[in-house]
Amino acid sequence: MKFIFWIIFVITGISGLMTVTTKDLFRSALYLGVTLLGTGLLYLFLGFDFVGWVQVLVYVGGVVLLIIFTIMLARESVMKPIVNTVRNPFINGLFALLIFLLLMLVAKNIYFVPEEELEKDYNFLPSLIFQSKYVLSFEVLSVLLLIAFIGAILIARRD
Amino acid sequence: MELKPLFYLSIFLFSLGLYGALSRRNALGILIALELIFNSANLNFGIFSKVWANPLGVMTIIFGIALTAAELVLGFAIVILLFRLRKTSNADEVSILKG
Repeated sequence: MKFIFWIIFVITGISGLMTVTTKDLFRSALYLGVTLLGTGLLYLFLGFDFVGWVQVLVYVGGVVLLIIFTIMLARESVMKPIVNTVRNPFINGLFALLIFLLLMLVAKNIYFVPEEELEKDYNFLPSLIFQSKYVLSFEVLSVLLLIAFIGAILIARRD
Repeated sequence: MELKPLFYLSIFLFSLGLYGALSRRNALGILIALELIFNSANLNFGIFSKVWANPLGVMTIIFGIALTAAELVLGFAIVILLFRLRKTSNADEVSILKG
């Protein structure tokens, strides 16, 4: 089990790196799909089954499909792939590296509870959504999604 | 289940997303990199929900996923409209709002 965890961990990191370094935008979207799938599987290892499958369904099934459709719609010809060039890679890379090192410095000093002291039977149950005080905000969220979709259709439609 | 390496992974993904969002020229590339940043934030919420045994973190992940989906749908609609009007999806060439 630990071996599978580390394989998924490494694949997620590497495909995240490939997402921002690949030239072809279509491949970049596919690598993003691998990263999101890996994160969803890591949620399963944390014990959050519901969130893991929601991530796989919504992100890998929905959002990556949406990205690929947009790439298909927003290119000049079918034969010509969108080349995704990079601006000032060294300055931006240095900046991102500095932020990375700063955050790692902070993360190194955080005390994490040892694994034995964690609550063993803590698991998020989906029924909690409808039994807690979050249910109203959850319904409001669905209205927000509806408004966003109607807005997207209004913006992108050809009239 | 190792929590600290997962925390480092989320920091790594955040830095990659930051690099991509700063350096990509294409608007779609910027949106893809933003997606990485949201994903790393969600992973972080999951880790600390596990550490403190608090379901609020998982609720935040579910809300974050839905909000990200809404935001990306609008972003891609704008990119498609932009491509129809200007025949480009390059973020540098779009300076309509510049005074």
